[in-house]
Amino acid sequence: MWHKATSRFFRGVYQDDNNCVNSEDEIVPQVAAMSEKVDKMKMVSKLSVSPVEKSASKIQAAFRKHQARLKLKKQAAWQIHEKLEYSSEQTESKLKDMFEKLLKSSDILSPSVTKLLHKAGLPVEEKELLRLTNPDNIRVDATYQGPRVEGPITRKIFVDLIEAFQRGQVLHEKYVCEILHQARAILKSLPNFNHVDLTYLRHVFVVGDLHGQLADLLHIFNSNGLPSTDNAYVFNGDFVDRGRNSVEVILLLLVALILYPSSVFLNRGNHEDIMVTVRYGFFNELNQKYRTRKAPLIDLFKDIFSWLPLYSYVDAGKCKIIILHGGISDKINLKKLNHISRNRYVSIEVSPQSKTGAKRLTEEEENEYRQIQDLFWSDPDPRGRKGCRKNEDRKMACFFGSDITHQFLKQYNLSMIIRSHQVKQDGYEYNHDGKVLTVFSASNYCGGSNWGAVVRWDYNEEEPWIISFKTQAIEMEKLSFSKQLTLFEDPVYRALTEKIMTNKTALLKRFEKADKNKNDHLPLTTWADILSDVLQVDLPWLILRSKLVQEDPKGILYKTMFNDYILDNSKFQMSNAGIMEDLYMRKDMLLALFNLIDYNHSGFISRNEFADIIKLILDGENGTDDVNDAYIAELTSAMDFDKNGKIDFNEFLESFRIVNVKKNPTSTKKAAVKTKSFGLNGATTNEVRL
Amino acid sequence: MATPTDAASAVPEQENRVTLRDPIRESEERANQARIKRLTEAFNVFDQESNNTIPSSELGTVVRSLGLVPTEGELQDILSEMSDDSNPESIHLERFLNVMNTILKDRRYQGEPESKILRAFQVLDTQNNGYLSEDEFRNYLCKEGEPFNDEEFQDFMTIALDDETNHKCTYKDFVQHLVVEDND
Repeated sequence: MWHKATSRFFRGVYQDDNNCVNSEDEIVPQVAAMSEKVDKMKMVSKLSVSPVEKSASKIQAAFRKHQARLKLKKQAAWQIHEKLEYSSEQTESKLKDMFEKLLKSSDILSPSVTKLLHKAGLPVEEKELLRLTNPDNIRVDATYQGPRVEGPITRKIFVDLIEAFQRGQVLHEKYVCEILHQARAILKSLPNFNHVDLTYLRHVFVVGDLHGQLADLLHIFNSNGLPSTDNAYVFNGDFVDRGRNSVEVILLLLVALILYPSSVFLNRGNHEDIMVTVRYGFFNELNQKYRTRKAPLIDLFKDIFSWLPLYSYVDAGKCKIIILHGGISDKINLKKLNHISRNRYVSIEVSPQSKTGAKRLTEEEENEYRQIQDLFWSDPDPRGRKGCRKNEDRKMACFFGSDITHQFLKQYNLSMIIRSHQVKQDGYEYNHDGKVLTVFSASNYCGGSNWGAVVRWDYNEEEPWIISFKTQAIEMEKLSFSKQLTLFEDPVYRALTEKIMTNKTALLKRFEKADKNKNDHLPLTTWADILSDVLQVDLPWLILRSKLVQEDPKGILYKTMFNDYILDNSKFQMSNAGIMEDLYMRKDMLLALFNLIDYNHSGFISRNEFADIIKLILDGENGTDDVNDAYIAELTSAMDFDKNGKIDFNEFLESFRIVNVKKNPTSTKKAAVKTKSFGLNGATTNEVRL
Repeated sequence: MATPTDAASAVPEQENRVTLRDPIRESEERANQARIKRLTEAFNVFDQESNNTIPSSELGTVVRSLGLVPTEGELQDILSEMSDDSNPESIHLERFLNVMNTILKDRRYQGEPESKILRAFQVLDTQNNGYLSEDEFRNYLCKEGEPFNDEEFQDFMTIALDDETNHKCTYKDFVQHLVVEDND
């Protein structure tokens, strides 16, 4: 697939948007110009208007309305995506809380499960890991046509890899291991932070989240040059997850590091975390591309992540800048962070074991753990408030205010914080009087329409250059005029549909309760309020309603909300739909825990282990230790499809599908034909077994 | 003789006393609530900083996204009604709701039905071809009525010619695409 890119390149502390008015003096001429134009319009409309004028006006008005509606749709989809993303990322904090609980009271679980859960937080055993992934022991089949990494890694190999990846080739695992081994050795030798000295390097490019979007990385290299001894780069985390080429992206970055360790700098991001990657795509991608050796590869990546430096310090002569992935808080103590054993933090969600051997962390260790969370997960306060408070969107780490920023900068004699972690429409954004700069480099992120950006800082400059760009796949066939994306195909709305369907029972209950007249109708605002309350997310329901439900002058026909989709759980053969919904609602948690337990990545866990996980999850919810054993038994039995004592998690996920009933009209037809041919007098119900 | 009202007030509170509901007022109230919520939602979509304001430059988009078609002049009037002299470049939610709720209630600035828009194209199609060329469009839409600027015209032509290969727009299909009947 070819990619095209558009760039705009400009300098400035504040965006000089054409529409944005920056100062008082600029308002008056603009307004004056507008009113001049208006008076002319008013005059024109008072004179008799010709049919041509009238027609032109009607067409123009209809078009402008159409464009405005389109903009609303796009912007709304964007906001929905953000809100749903935050809402799903809240699983992070739930998991973290759960693991904390685990450390404190492991008596509810069987010892083997406890041991396995602890294992997740332990660094990988080095010797064994290196042995299992030793490239010398891996044979390359004669049929392999892809790129090879033989001998010392050179710039030519780097370029060859880029070209191969662009063609969609997958690097052989022998060479993957080669690269990972070398990169790991370098990362292990690095201190906790990167020192970027522009006195020698002269300038540095700072790249934000890439999220497996290879096209963006390649465009960045294309327009700003490949990394080299005199073309320095800092990559500020979140290299993997979500995009389709997380493997290729991280491999290229690691090769760049191997080639130019004194001018290529990698910072860890919150997605460089094994527990996050199992849920957001990197894990699956590895599974797909490297089936045979996926387990040791996963462990190798897990280890490499833990060795990534925590932040970069840039000495730009007149200015000193800090580059970190998430943000800061009032707790961050750089001097302390410079001396911790950073590889103890295998995953942010699982607190490291206390060095004292006790179950609980000491106060100091707890403080250190909180600092790490803040570093990778915090955001500038979206409402411009001062101080440091719990991050309401992510439910962990902080929102930090401009006073926190100023204090931090003053304490460490810095001029600016460059961070990433949040997608921005323009690819970048300034906050806190220009003291915090967010840079995000994955354009059109997750089907959105944002720009990506890259920051360039030159020696002795006091402000950076910002380069924004967009890359876009070009379809070779002509785009069709009536691009009716069905609701189901649009990924944002698919996520929304999923959320609605898995809360069907709870929603129906509330709807019926509010339907005082029992006439299947609800007022618009009542319907909207219930949705916000049950789904725990505040979306523009009235704007979306024509996509979600039918209505007539009497109100919203709430039952029609669930007509188009069904949660296909026929494999489970369970009578209680509520239980299935419960499971599906918690599938993120289940997935994370499952992957923990399945330490040899076989894809199976035993029924007992599963029962333990469910118990753990349900305990966390109700806060009681009194979980119904019968309920757990029923759930476990349902999950064991083949009744062989083992639970195949992938099968579980596969069998949970939201099926678009409307999209299978052929099956409906087939059923109808069948009944006719048997001379049955028409089916009494319209039920179709899908 | 006791009048009905006297009797009513003389009777003490009873459990089965019927309270008269005013269904018309109730449904008006509900419609009003729905209007306010709908307006707030549209506003919030464009309120990037979540601080209950939108830039004045976005007002046109917000109003049109609601399905209304004020002229540029009418838009100016709406803007002046709701803008704040001390802060002219942004509009606050409260003022927006006040002004827009009345506009919606009075059903002002309503758009035209599909048939009228189709008719408009037919008027421009002086030769009755069933289609119009890019030059004809440029002639009419960038010079007459409330002219398109370059960007608007570009966008217009992109959609108009989306399915065509010979630089002509068979406007019948185009009209259907332009006039989306959303229930609002």
